[in-house]
Amino acid sequence: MSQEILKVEKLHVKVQDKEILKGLDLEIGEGETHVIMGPNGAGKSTLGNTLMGKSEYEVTSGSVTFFGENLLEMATDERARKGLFMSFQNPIEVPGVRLSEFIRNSCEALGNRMSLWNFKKAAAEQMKVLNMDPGYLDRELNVGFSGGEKKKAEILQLLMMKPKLAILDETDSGLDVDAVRTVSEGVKAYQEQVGGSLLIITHSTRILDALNVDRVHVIADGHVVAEGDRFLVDEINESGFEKYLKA
Amino acid sequence: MADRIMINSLVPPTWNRLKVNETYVELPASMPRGKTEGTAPVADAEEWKMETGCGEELSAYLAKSGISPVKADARTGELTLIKKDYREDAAEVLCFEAGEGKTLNILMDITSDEDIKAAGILQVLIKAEKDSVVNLTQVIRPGKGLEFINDIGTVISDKAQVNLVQIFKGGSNINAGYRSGLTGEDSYAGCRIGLIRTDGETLDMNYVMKHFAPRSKSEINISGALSKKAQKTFRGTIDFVKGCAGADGAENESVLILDDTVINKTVPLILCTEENVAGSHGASIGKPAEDMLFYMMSRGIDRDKALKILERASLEAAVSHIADPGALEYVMNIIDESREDD
Amino acid sequence: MSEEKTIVDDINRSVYDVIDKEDNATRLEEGLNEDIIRRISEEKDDPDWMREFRLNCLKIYKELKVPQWGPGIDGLDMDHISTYVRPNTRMQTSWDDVPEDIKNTFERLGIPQAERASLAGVGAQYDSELVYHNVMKEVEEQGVVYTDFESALKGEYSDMVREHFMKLLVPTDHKFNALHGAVWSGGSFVYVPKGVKVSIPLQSYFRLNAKGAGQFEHTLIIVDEGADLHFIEGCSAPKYNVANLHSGCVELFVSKNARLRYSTIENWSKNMYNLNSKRAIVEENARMEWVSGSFGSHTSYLYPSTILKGDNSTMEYTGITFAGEGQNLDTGMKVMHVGKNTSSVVNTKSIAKSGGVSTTRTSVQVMPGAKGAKSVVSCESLMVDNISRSDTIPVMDIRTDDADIGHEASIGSIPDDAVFYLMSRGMTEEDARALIVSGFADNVSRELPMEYAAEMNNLIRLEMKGSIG
Repeated sequence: MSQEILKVEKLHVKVQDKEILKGLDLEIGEGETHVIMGPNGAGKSTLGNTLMGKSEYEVTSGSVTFFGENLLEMATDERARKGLFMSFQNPIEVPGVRLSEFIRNSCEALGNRMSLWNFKKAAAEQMKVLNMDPGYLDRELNVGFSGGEKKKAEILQLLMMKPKLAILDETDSGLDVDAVRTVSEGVKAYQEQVGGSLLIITHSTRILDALNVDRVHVIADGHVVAEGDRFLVDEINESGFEKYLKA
Repeated sequence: MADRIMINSLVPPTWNRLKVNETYVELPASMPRGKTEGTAPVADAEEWKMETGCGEELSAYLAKSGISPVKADARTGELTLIKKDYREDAAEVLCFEAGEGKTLNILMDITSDEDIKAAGILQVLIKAEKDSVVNLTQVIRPGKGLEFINDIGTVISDKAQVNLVQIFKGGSNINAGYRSGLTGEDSYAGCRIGLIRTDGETLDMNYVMKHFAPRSKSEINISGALSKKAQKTFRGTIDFVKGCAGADGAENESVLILDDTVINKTVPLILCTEENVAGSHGASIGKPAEDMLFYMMSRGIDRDKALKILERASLEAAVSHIADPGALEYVMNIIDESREDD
Repeated sequence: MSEEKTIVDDINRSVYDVIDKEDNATRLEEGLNEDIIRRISEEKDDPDWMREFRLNCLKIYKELKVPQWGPGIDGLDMDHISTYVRPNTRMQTSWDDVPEDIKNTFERLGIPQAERASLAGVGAQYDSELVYHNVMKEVEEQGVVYTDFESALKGEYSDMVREHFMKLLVPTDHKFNALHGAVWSGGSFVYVPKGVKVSIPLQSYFRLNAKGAGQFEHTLIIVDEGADLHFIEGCSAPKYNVANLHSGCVELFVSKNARLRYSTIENWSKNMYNLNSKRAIVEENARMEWVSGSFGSHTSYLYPSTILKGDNSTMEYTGITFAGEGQNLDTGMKVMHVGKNTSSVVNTKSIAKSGGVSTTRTSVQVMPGAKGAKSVVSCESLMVDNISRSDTIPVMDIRTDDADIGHEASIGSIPDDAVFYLMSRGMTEEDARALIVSGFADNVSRELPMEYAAEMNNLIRLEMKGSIG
């Protein structure tokens, strides 16, 4: 295994007094692509939101280190500045804030200050990969965006911010085949350009078709019930999750 | 000797203890006239007698101080930029007339030096003749020492439109009045207001849409952010006068409150003596949604910065309604300047 | 749809308008002075402190000014109002003992019938005093106290009464609180002990029969910790061509974890000045619910107010006002958020018709430190014609960052297409419009016990009668 950047040990998480994660373990090495699969309610999105530090997700025990540091002690923005990124399952609409302003501020927060000209050039280049009209930069953040447009805007942020570990939370859900392909192209570009690690949370597998996958983890009832290489994905595609649920 | 003038009265009034029924301002016994290039006295001041948002006492005070109305040279097809940089006490009544079918684009930029202590009164009177369009944008961003009163009155004829965009930022105490007389059938008056009040700044507003004519339409949209002992009072009245069948008036307000030291008062009246009308008011007041902040922080933006961005967003919500491209660019540049300041 | 038609035809106002012959034991002369106050006090055999309280209130009354912000009350001249009229009977606990004509009046209003069907206790006030009072044994055995105010002032609970009387509605608040404090008579005292849940409602009914008189009942309700009560208030009077005055006070104390619902169907005659004050203070985790229907009176000032003092306290207000010909009804509500995590939900409807004036006046205040306050206010108005007037005057005063405040107001008319649709199903235009207006008021009728909802719908249809050309 290459150098380990994220280590989750015996993580227990409660949401509104209900325990969702019940002792989850996970390790991700530099440049690796991991996939988290599992039925609805297994705790997949809880893992993503907990790693990003959303306040309703209460860690009751266990530990998470990111580059050897205690991630759980950091505020959300600090986590982002350390190189953690999450593509939201439901990106939030923020009226009055333009997409360009948002991404430029984000890049700046991560120490990448660009002139407006350089920013626009860089953004336009990445938008080509995503088949996005540069006009989107002047639109209000996610306001009036379709489901597909929102997800593309998330991947655009991924490409511009170049994080060390990106969590993609159900980025493919609710998208048509073409949109999934485009988003998948964007993720591939991230792998190639940045070489960062990926944690792809999904309950379908379409997004994975064009990607290199190093490790697959199946979660059920709040912990990992099976692990394997990408062939596990094919197996789940054929026979579903039933056999893991019984276990 | 100072005069105590009552402005921004709520009609009809409500409970006194809420302290929203009116505001008093102290003004010097008389004010020198301000000067704007390209203006000339109006031929007949009587013709420009018009109700305004601040009300009769202010107009009477201006008349007493000998501030007679002047007509500004605004031409159709070009942007009229009026920069007012206050250096001393000054009062002015500026009149604009849009002839039948004409379009006027007016941009006013109100500033003053940080170290100037002065009082400024600007009254703007607008007549929009049949089928005309008046696009008025005001950026009101004076320094700390300017006590400023901005007062507007309009009369809008058949199928004419008056589109107002206002940005309030800085200064200390600002009083703002606005009244549209929608006297023409199918006339339209719109107000898009963006405001940031912080650091003890106040803003006292009285906006009245008086619907006289059938199918007249009005909209008031306010977006703003308050912090650090700021105070804002917004009175907004939609008045449907008998005979305005088919009229439509809407007020909307969205105010972010960023800490526990502010006072935010909202008084949205709907008065009605006509059956077939549609009036509505909506307000949402409070702190920014947590999921919005979480989203921004997940991109590495710290909480304070995220709040700053949202504060500015409340101005941009109004700015995006500026019709004239030149005026839009001018105002965007002002907002971008403040962006670089952060 | 002929059935609907019959209902509309069947209603008439006469049940409210029957005038009983005045056969009073006492009627004090009109006007307001120290001598009259002393005589009221004597008639009622007040304790000393109460007599002093009354005299002090008279002083305050004389000092305070008439409010300048509401409808005019020039037609009300205190020199022509008799503030105390005692009917020719003492309070009875059986309807059989109530004098025939008074009993018939309450029969016509359906009070004894309602008592048998759906109430746990009834108080019936006629002019200045209660003529009937009775409580179900089961409820009494739970320790619930429901008495006329005079008994309360002297009985076992006299200390509790003195401790709370006009402490929420202080006489200096406004002129008519002071007037009330000086001349109050009648009303009810209710105490629900800790943890007691009264499963069926109590009701007080107020009837003002005497011409040119005032009614000034005082209602004080204390719902102790964890207790639960629904109290219903009804009122009516026959119509005279001189001014009558109603200036009651309602003080409600809702203790920790308790709930109180206070429902009112007000149907005063159209010569009545209804200058009423109601206020509730709500402690930790407790809940106050107001249901208010205002149909009658010439002029009304009515704004039940709620202080959400305790953390997690909540309030819900549901109200309707119907202003018809010659009426100027200024109604609404006030709420003040003080504790943490408090919430208020307000839903008002108002209808103006035949030259009536309806004003909906509200105030929502969120104090500094009232973290987590939530308030949702919705005010809807319906204009039935273009000779009436409908105003909405809301104020929001928000002083905390951690608040979630929503406000919506709208005004509109009866949609033509809805009338057309109903008429295409065979309804007359009048019935169609009446049905649509009843539907508009549905939020209130759903909150009322069935009999009261039916009475309210009847009142609406009565008001809508003859609304076409």
